[in-house]
Amino acid sequence: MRRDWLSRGLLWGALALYTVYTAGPFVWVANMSLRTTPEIMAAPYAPAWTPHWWKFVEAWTTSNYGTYLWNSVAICVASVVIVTLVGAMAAHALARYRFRGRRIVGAAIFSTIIFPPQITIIALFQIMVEYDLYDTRLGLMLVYVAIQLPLTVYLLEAFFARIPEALYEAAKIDGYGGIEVFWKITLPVGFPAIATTIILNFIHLWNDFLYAVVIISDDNKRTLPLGIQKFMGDQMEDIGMIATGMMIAVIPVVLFYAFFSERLIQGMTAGAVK
Amino acid sequence: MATVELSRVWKRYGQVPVIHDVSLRVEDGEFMVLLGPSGCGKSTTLRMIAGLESISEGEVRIDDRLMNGVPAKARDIAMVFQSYALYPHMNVRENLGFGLRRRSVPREEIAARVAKAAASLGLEPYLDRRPHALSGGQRQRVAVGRAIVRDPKVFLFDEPLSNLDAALRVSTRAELTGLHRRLGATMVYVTHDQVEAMTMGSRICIMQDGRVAQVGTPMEVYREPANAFVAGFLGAPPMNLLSGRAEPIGGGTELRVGEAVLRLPQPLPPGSVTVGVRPETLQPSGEVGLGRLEGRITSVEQLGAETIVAFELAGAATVRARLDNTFAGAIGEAIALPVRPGCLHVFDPETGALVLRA
Repeated sequence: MRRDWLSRGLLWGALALYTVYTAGPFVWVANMSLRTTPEIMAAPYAPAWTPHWWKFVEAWTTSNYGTYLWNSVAICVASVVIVTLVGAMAAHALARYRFRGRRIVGAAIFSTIIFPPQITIIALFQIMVEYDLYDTRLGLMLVYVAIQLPLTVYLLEAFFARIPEALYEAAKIDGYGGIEVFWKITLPVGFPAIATTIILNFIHLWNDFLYAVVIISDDNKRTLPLGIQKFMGDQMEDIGMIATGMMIAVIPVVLFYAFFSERLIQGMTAGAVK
Repeated sequence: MATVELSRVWKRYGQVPVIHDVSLRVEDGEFMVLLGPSGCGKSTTLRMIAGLESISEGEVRIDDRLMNGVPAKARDIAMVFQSYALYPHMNVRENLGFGLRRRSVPREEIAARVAKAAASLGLEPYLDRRPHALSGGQRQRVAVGRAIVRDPKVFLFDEPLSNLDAALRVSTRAELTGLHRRLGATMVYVTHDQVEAMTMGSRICIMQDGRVAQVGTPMEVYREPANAFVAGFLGAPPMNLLSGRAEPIGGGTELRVGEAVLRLPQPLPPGSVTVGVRPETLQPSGEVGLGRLEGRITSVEQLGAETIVAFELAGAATVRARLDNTFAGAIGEAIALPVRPGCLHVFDPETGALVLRA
């Protein structure tokens, strides 16, 4: 009995420590987003006793946040839709069909995952300029699709390969073939894996700074991470407003995750392959 | 309904043949069971009929129409898989109607056919459930229902009962036999379970190493096995297969099995033979028959309705006899059982082929 309490206490302690470690910075930024910069400078860790909600209104109205948010939503949603569709089709082909060169195609796609993104930046910039895609939303979207595709194909191929072959054979006998099998079997049965890649890709692209800062320069085409950076230069490192901007950028992701993780769990339990 | 005919069919993976020159005709409305041990090629043969495996050589015909190049969906067959292969994202109703939707059957007709199949299989309470919320037996019935609603020319079953527990297997066996009687459909059924084959099949095709070993009614293949493999594969316990020697004597033959001597009226060339005797044909009696198998009892298994007795035949192998439950012998005691005329099989020890039945 005593040992039970001890081990339970240790477990709770470890969990509490981990929660503070991971959620702490987020809570701190959320707290700072409701305080002014002079207040933060005076006492960085003090709680927001008198929260300044007006800062959110000011950040939204005085800066170009509406445009940044729209750019982020448009680029991320379009990229994720394309990555998911193309990635799922490629993964389906690699997992289901035995064709000449399949291993080489797979190896070529997956090998790109191991390279750090920085090494492609200069070449990528040159290509964007060459094809008139520099400083365009379309250019950034194409880059996002290209960089997220290999990991998406990798994750989905591993899951699709585990879908029993008999399901496809049953569908074949039921009269379905080719692309119909992809829509009717692979997509719905593979939904848990697809939802996972949607979440991963969306969060990754929503937070991307590196490619956005290299490819976008026009203020009206900036995404949210670039918009936050503006506070650092234009407003003399207004740390309070940066925190407010970060919260504006983060809230959609949190809502998106909350919605999709629920769907993800539902999908896993309802459509599980037995 | 339709006939299914395989003519000199071969299947090779690369250079390795797995199906060798198989020819088989399944008559209209027949329940043909493909029976054999794992790896004998029975599932591959079924999959070639279904169009899920290509045919390396030979012809497959359904209703006299050549099917070699015809895709699975155009063969008008339905298949029940070992794993049932139910679509996990669809409920029972959608699973049943999935094939009909593709064939552009009107919505009302799909609903009517699904309802009829569900009623005949007792699936009505589960129509809105998904497969993961069903028991093994219910899933199996959905898989059968999916085949029924299509009203195909031929039903194919690939070991559909092997995932069920023993009790459910017995009741489902009877249900499937009843279904065959009701529909009068042509069915090809793959199993490695001889009880399923014996109880369900109109005829049984026994396969060995990718070849057809024998085709016949259940009692034909049981009573008159074409070779030692069929003799040893059917029956529980299987036929006793004992090494012996044949010596011509007068117009007949003397068979020496260890120290036992059996006298046959038919002539046989001298040399080694394999002697086969079914356990249930060995019964204690005062007759001598073709000769007596004698030895000491090594095990007695009381099964309630019957008793399986094993005894060491002097100078040869172990022999099993299926005796009635009143048998009172004990381990170590002597036993002598006559071989009845008409119950002895002699096989070629090299090829396994039947040489003589005496």
